[in-house]
Amino acid sequence: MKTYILVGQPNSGKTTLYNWLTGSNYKTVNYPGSTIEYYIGKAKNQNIQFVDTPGTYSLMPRSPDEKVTYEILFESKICSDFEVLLVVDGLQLERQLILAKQLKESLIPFQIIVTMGDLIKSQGQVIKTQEMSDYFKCTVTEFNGQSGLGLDAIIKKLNQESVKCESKKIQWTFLDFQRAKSDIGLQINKWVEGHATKSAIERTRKIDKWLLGPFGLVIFFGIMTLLFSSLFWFSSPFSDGIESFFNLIGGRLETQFPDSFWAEFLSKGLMSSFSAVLVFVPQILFLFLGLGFLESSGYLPRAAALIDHPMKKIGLGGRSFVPLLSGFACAVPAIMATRNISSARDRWVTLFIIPLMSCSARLPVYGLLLSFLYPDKSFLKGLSMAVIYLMAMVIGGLASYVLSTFLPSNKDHFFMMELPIYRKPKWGLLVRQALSKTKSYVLRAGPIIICLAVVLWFALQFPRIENKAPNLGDSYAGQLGQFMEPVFKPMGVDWRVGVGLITAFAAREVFVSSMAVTFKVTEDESKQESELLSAMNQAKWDDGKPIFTWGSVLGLIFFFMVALQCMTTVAMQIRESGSGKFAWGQVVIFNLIAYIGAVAINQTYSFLFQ
Amino acid sequence: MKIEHVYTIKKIRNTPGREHIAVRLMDLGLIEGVRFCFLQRLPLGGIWIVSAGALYIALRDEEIGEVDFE
Repeated sequence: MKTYILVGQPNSGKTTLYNWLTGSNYKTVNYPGSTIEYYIGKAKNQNIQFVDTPGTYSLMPRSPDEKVTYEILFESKICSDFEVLLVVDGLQLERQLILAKQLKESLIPFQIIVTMGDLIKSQGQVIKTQEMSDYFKCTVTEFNGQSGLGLDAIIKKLNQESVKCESKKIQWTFLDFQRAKSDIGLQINKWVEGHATKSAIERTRKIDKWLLGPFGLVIFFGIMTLLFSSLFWFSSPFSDGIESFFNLIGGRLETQFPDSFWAEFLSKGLMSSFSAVLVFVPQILFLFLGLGFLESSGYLPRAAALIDHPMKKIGLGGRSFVPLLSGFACAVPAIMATRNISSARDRWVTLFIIPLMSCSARLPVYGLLLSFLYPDKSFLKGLSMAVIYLMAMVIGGLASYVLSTFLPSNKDHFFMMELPIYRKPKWGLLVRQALSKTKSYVLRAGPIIICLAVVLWFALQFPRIENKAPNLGDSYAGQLGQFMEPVFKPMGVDWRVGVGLITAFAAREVFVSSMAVTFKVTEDESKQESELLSAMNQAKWDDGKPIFTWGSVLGLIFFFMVALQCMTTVAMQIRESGSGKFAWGQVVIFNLIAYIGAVAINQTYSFLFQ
Repeated sequence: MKIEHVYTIKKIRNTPGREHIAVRLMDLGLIEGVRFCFLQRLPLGGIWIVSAGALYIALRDEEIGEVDFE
């Protein structure tokens, strides 16, 4: 099978072209360095495969993501018979075509694809592909990533026959760069017809005067607060709808089969577990939509530049911002995004603090606990959610500061980030990508929720006494929970919450479904108490004091903010840091701090207010 | 450094220990003879926004320190 490798500088449009060629729906965003791993996809009805690679400025790699591209081209990481599709930004030809010179010297066969056709046209210019083709002795095609114009021409020029590629590594000096740049500089006027009547960058500069001006940091914090607060505000009606739907189905099942073990299992075990987690899916969808909007508009690299100076105070740089922000969606891609950080020291510190960023799996937990603290006050819930996210950043900042003081500083790190042109996000694509991520979230968490709900339900229903469920304390789950209760009691929670905390190590959101199962079973004598929140409100210790107080709930929130419970994250940390000690050390440190913090918060509250 | 004033790069310093910066500047096309200007500085003495032809880039003080210009 013939392989085409898409190579180009960061943000030149490789992933957009890859999506058009393969019919994929990979994330295309408007900031440099978004692709950090390679992807392979096949063309429809053709014996051709395409490889999307991380952006590289030259064929001599300087960062881990550039090394990925280098290994594909020079160390036959995928195959040895390939051709390169060099993707160059039409607005940056003079600089980006230096890669064409390097490919030529490396003896790698290539074609050139010139992107950003819409912006070139808007500047009143025309690219003369034939002249460029004559100079480089290769095929040159223009392509518009927005409309797909030029795709047919690219496909027509693809050769299905494999050609052995005998690539040769190169090492350029300053002089070589200078020579290549001046050669291309001499030709550029032959390749681009017409003078730019208006610069495509002009509008961007005007917007930047505001967004990066004296109030830039205020606007930045405003945008972040709005993003995280709005999760509650926008999603409330959808969450209410989902909850009503499940209540309706569950109620009907129990009315239809009043004494059935299986109907009760379906209604109070399985469906309440699902309902407890699914009501938070709209919030997760809005989180992905918000992050997607920031990514595709071109604001993210600006935010990284704005935050660079404050981040230096905690021992990091602006390049750590995008991985850390991605960590609010999921730690796994965020850990991979650290490959874009040139400094090894900054990369280690960023890897260390990413799990502290509140990922989407924590959202259902915070949602439940905040609903307990502020029943029917979605404005306060929204603001508190923003405070939780801010606190996660503060804790991450403190951890980074402490860690940075122990690690030697290095001089080789740089920020140097190209700022892309602002572009209107494509809402259709944004919604599709957010829906696809939300779907994969549900599919990932769903099986775990079902398995644990089944196990927990049976652990609560057995051993059977005269064919009836035992008292809660006598069930297997109850016996185990009571055995472990001394560990959880200082946090101000009983064994039922303890069971939830243990099951959360499978997936954080399982905490909510576990609570739904254990508390609904406990209080199933009364219909009014079937709601998890009212069950939590009514839960009491033996001496009649409430279990859920501000102290214990704030302690739980702190526990979830800090604890490292996600095993996929641990596996990814081992892979990216190359150190099991680093990853397992994190598990021990974070979970210990989370536990001690939760105990301290609860005990302080009890001392002051009870 | 004057805002909107056009400068020309005289030389990229290759300070020992900061070779990465020099090489990346070169990758970005910031080499001898290139004309550029400072467009704005971010709040609290932060990063500089620099424009060189179609290149629109954010640079730290220490990165600009590797560029000799007139």
